[in-house]
Amino acid sequence: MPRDDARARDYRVLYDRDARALRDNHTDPRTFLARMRLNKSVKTRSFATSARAAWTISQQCAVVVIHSGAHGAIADGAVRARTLVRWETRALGVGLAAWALGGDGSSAEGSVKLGRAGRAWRSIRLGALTLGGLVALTPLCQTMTAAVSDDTAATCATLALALYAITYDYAFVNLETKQLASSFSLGASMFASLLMASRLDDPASVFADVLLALECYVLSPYVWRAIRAFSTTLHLVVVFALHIIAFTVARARDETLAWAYVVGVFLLAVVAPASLVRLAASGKRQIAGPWDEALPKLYLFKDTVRAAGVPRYRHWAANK
Amino acid sequence: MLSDFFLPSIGGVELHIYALAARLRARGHKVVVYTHAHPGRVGVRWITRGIKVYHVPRVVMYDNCTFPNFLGGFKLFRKTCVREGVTLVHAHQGCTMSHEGILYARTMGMKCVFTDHSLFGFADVGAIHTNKLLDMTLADTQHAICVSHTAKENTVLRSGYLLGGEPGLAPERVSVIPNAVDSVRFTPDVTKRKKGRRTVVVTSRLMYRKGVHLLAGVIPLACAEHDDLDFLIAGDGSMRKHLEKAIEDAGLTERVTILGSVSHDKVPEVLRRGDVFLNASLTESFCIAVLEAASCGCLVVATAVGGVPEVLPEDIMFLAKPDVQSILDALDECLEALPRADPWRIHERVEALYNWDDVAHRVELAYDRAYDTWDTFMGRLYRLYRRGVVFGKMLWCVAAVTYLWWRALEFFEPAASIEPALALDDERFDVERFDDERALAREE
Repeated sequence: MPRDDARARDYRVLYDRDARALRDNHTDPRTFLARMRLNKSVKTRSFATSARAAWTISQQCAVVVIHSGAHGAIADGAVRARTLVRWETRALGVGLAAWALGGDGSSAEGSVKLGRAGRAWRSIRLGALTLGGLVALTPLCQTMTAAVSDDTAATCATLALALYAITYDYAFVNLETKQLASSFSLGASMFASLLMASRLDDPASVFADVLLALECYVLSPYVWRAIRAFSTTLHLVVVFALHIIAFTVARARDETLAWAYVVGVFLLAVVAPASLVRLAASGKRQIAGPWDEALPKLYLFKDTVRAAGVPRYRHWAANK
Repeated sequence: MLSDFFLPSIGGVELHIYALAARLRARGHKVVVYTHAHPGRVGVRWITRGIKVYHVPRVVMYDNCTFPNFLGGFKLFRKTCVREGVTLVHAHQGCTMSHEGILYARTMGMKCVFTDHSLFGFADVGAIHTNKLLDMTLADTQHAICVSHTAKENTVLRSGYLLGGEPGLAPERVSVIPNAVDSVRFTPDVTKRKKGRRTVVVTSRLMYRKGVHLLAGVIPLACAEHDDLDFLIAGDGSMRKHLEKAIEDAGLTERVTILGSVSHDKVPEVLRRGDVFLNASLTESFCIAVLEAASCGCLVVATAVGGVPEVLPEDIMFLAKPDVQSILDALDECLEALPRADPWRIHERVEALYNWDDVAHRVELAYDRAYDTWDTFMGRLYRLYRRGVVFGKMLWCVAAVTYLWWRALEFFEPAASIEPALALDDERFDVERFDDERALAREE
């Protein structure tokens, strides 16, 4: 490190004899806080980027509303279970076919690359397992919560679906990560789905409801990600279409609920990003200076037994 | 003197308090240290140089920090202050007893001085809460002392200096008074150094903040570059295994010696064995270890973090950025300068720059500045009230309730009814005379 020239130094030192003649509480305006940096690594947020990310969040809200609305329609008899099963099976078939033809959009590390025949067989196998497994589990699902009251089941299902939306891995759909890491949200959604399905009367309705839940919460993230990877415009159009469907489904149940949904989406997808951008521009004050702890390079952690209590994500965040 | 950190625990803050208390005592002041109890050490004790220590029973939470008890400790604190005739409270480090003690002391109208020994960040959750507490304490303190100019900037910013409306601690209310070194104990002895070899000494806790990762990266490369270079490492900690593994993997067990934990009185002996002292800390407010090493005649290589660049001149301390290559370059430069270095000359320069008598004198001046201030109870309440939209109101309530509790204590146990403590005129406590007087009193 090059030697400092005392005149060029922008900080005071303790061994300077001339400075020692000054009072200890003397503050040199030239050097005091000269090395402080405000908002050094704060990224400027744009409304468009934030709104696009929020639009993805609202997509999951639409999925929840669609599934809940469909469940309500099955329960009321507004939609026949068999009709719904037909549409769901077709959708599953289309999705599996697309997967077989196009390859998996998110390749897991270490996975073997399959040819078209391999992918086709994998799709057929998955479809068969999904449908066959559901058929086998339907009687169990139907009687699972027989001892639970309706309001308890409804409350628990609502809370679980809210948790699903909150803890969902949005980074996966937004192409920020390669693997879906949302075991908690998946668990919450399946818990809610089984609770809701078990309140239905006949096996066909239960099957239809659970199959829809499976497609909405387990399989759809990969579809959304594939669409997003293909085209951002298509992604926005698809999300908008989902909102239209969700609004229609909600309106079929209750007019007020439908408009409350619209207001909620507006707050989430427009107002929230705008507030975030505004707050980040005006309220952010990141202070950096020589008092900050230095961060060693990540390679130094190789073979470390443990990082002595310091979370590694802090270093990952600083070193990326 | 008030802190969670005092003897028998050993650390920078503890030794600072002890050394400062001893010098102030020698200058004729009455010094009482108020700290928490340790196993086997509860109650009142006299230690060397006539320092009276109150080891107060408190629950220790973690790493010598005690559990907060808000108003619970006020009665004992008040009684201690009245008995001892305390007029000024000097709190060290932002720990529980310091924060509570300042609150109690200000309620009783005493002057307060706060010394901040560490640097803190602003962004993480722990720092945010710590800074909020510090904001409360600094708003109530007459004067603050920091051990380096960087620490002063950090403390002033943490008090809310940039927040606008209520600017927090004014820089003129902060004095920069560095630590010092006991130059009588830390002296060079070149006969202890290995002839024909050059030894790099490291004395620090082997934990993340002390840059053990950097050390583990530097040692193999430095040993590969210099055939006559050895390392001597004193200290223990959570990263010791990592360091030992790195040394073992590089096949350097013959050239690198890890002594483990070394008591503080043995540290000079370790430092005398070294030619160069290496400090790879990631953050340091002052780093008293480099002073001790320089006092023992070593040249120093240190990472330019925190207040470290302010401590020693460029011909004694070679600064490096906190990365492996930069430290290696600084070490090369230092080894080149080693033949021209005179250990006793370095020792004399450090002794002249950093000695406890000078520090004690400057602390007295800081006390005078605290005494020169003037405050009222309502002014204090108003100042606390303005510390934040929500926090200010909370502080106001705490201050008001503490005041009422003080008045209640005054009512039930007036200060005049509390017996003053025995005054110690000389530095040496005459045990024989005291025993004779007690025996005489028993006979009567």
